[in-house]
Amino acid sequence: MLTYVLYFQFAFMYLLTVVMGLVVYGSDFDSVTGWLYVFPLLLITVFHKWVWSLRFRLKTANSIRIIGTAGALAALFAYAPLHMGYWDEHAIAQALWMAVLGMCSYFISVMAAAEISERRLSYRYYAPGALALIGLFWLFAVYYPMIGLFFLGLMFIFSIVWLSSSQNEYQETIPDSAKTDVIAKYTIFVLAIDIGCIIWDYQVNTLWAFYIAAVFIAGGIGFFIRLAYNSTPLEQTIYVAAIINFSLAVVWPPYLLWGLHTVVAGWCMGYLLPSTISPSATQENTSLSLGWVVWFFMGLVLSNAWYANLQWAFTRLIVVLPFLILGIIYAAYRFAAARHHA
Amino acid sequence: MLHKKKFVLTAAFVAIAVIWVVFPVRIDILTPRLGIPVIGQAGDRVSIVVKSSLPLYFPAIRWQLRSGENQYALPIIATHTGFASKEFVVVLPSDIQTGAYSLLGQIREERQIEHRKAVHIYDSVPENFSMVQLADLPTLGGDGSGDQLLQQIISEINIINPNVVLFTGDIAYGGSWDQYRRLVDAMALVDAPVIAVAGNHEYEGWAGYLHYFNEPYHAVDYGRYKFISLNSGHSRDQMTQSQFHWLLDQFQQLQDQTPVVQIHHPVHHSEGQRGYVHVKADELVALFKKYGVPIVMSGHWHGDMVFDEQGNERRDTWDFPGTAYVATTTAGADLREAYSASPLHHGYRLIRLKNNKLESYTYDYNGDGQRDAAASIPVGKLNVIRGNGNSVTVHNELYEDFPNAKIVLISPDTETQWQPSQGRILRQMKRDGETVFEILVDLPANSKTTIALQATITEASH
Repeated sequence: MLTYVLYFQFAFMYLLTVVMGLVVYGSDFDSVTGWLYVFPLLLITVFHKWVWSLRFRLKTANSIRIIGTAGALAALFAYAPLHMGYWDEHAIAQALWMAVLGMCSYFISVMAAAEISERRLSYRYYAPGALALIGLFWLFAVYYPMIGLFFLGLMFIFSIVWLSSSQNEYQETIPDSAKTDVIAKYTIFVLAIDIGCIIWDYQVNTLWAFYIAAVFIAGGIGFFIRLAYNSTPLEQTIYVAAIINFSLAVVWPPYLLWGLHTVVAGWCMGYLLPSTISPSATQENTSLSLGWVVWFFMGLVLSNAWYANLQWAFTRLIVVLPFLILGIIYAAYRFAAARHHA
Repeated sequence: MLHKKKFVLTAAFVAIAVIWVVFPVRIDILTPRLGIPVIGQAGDRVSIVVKSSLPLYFPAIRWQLRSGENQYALPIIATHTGFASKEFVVVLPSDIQTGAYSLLGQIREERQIEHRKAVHIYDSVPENFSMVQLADLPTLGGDGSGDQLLQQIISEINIINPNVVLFTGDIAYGGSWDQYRRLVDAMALVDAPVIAVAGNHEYEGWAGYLHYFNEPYHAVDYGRYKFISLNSGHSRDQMTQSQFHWLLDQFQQLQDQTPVVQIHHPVHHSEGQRGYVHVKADELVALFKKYGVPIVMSGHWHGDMVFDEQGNERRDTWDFPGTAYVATTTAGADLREAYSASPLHHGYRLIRLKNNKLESYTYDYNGDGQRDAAASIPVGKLNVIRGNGNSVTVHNELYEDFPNAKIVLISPDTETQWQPSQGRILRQMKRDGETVFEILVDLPANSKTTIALQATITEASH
């Protein structure tokens, strides 16, 4: 399960913590520090395909030790001043540690994905458990908002000790993950906007941590149900449910802060994650993707822009509306096709 | 065997990480503090909230209040322990004197935590209640001119002797740690309770703001008044859903109290104006009306403007029914003519309430005997000139009477008994071989008033 936590941590702990930190404590993109946060993400985006293709070769004993140690140290250096303090957007040392941490977090996610494939770690139990564990980590942010960084440090310590170097025979037999479901990715994007808005609303008031924790715990349950019952036909309904959930929060903002909203968003995300991380994954083939993370991150960033301009709430609806209509049509079509097939 | 070794290694690394982050254990007072003080009376229960760097661990803390040589122990009557924070409920001593106090927490013998002017004691809420509001402060640091201007403003405020002083955002332009330190040092010179809230410029150094002031929005009770400070900074001039819910709760918890609101961005605006509350403005106005808020104070525009609750800009009169929405000129930043309904000046606003009703909040700028519709008080026209020995002259060049103004005189010894040439002694404190007298006098508009300490009986004459 910890390997799945390592796989998910780049998206659900590092990226979410950075975006949350910049939302809560402010960002200044007129300064060097502002760009230090962005630089590793640009680098990752440019080189992702290349790194991904080399993921099995990358996972050597030395690289695990070096990246894990660098990541753990960066996480702890970044977090120590924030434990009882506040993130100073102009602190260069802080931005540097975060940049190093971002790179390490990404590489560890990549290596964890390779490890899952090699060892054929079942995702029926481990992945939902990993999501729920991430949810529990987020719960602690109620008390120490940036504690996600500390847990990242702990995860990297685990990676040093528990990730194993790749064996050549696996590298020959395991293919790259197949193309993943675009609509599922889009829905993850919408859900990321949703989650980001909660943090934007509460800001320094760390009640948002309860909601984020609920998202991941509900996500773990959604993921588990999806795999336990192999209920793929329900997927189209979930797209629609996720988008309706989001649209409700747009047209009636108090809904954004309801527990129900969070649970539905989390449940939908968990249900759709298997389609995004690898639609062809089975118990025998757990080849994963990391491409969905871009959609998740874009959603978080967009929520920033949208929530910072609350007076334009309708623009969020304009973006969602065509997909809502298409989603309903698509769901109806798939439902009819399934009945015809039966 | 291999697994056991891995477990031991992991546990060792995790232990090192925890020790690194958590130790030495740090304890900090979250509330009360300067900017979010407790304003209470002898015998009141007060809540002190602390946070610990080590979850579930809180050392024994002895609480006391200190002002000069006066110290009062605060008996703890209840505690509520959370995962990372702990609330101490203490009682203000029955014999405590009125005034401002630092809150001290003694952790064992070797460590002390302190927040200056976190607690203010009053004996009764006066029928004639006054407050000074200022926003958009001068930039501190640099050539020091901003610091000087702020010192002048604080000197004037201390003479006016209001019951409370409100800092309505944009209090630290640039938001460097040095600016916040200078600001807090200056705020600590204000005698009255200081209630501060963030503006948009605080987001340029948000960590510094949170370090010193901790909470972006808050409510402070002062007898039959409740001071509600809202955060519209949020980087985009608006009210978030969660803050709106909090505000609603505050209003619903009012117990025969009159709420007074400060929010950096003005709620209403005239055509063509920028920088006002974009979201939930109508809901805010409805709430303020429902709960009888007499005045909503803002800054941001660097000019004086007043709106009624319908959102009409009022240039005809300051005296109209319903909530007054008041934007106060900058205390020391650049002035903006397009956003001002009064002659341009750096200034602050004096607001008077009588029996919970708004009595005045504008200034007679041209001295025609009528208060202007929007003007605030200009800085620099209320000065103290120290005379020889124990006397001062207060030069009030303003068209405003200041009843119960406060003048500080210092006698060079602690043995002689002194009486002021006019006014009455509010308080006297012995300090480092001298006695500090706080004297209340009436300062009429356009007047020069000299007050001297006169010896009455000395130890020698006995």
